[in-house]
Amino acid sequence: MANKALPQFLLGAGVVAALAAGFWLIGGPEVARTENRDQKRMSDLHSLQGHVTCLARTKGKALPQVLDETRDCPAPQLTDRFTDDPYRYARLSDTAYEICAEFELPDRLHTSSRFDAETGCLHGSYTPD
Amino acid sequence: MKNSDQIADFVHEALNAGRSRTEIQQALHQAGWTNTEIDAGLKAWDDTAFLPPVPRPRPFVSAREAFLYGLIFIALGMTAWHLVMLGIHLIDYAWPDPDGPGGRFYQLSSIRWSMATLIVFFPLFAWLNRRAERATMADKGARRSVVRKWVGYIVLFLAALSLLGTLVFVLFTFLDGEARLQFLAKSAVVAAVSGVIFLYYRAQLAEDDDGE
Repeated sequence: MANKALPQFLLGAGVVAALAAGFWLIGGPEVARTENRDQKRMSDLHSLQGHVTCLARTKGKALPQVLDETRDCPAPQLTDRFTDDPYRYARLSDTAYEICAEFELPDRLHTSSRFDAETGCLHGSYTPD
Repeated sequence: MKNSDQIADFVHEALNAGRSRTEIQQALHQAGWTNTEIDAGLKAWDDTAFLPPVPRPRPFVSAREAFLYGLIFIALGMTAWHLVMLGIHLIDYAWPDPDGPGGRFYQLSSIRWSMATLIVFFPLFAWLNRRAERATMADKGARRSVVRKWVGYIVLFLAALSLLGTLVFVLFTFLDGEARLQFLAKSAVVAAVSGVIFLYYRAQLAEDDDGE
């Protein structure tokens, strides 16, 4: 019995330690809800990129100054759906722009060269064709 | 008919006919059976003068045992697999490989899947295994369960394969010049989980053999 008790204990201890490390490192349901909110914000930013392209195409082949709704381009979600703050749009040059949101846990989002986790801004570009 | 059944039947009839064990042994020997086979055949019947011959207990198969040990096997498998996956993902998360693929969000949901699976299957395994252990302690006859023996050997086999596979993979990666600390830590997780399970089942099978 003695030589069976040790592996049994080790397996149990391993499971408990792994679960504790999991909760400690990635957080419980509260953190997960925060991540999900950030995911929604990110997908809003992506829809807004489509909106920017639409506005640029239909209004003189240039990046718009502000994001508004036109007959050809129905506006997607323009404000943060959890805090109601508007997403920030800025024209950086004739061809480049950024759209930003207040992310709660930006480090946990997909890393990409277009997304700046520190400022919460997604960069985009428009080249008139 | 299995050899052991054939020989046990013969021994039964011979004992019934009043032949002595030595006579039976000689007759079987002449027929070409080996000593191990003859011993096994004679052992199937108790060595007393009582007639008809008294059977010794034999291994048995029961549906109830198959259910219990099948569930234990699955629960242990899920526990081992998800414990390893959780360990590997946590190492990736806490200690990201700079050259590895990104995508922490994907990892996070894998980690949560593994945690949920462990929370269900590990207590199930612990509880069922404790029940099985209690049953074999209370009734030594339960150790003769064929299903128990098979599940034990299958687990041992899989754990051994996993250990050997890990060893080969580590050596290959080392020779390939890519053995980084992250990789070694992940291999250690696989080896530790398979090693612990291997030791447990080796001890259980040794214990059951002693009981016979």
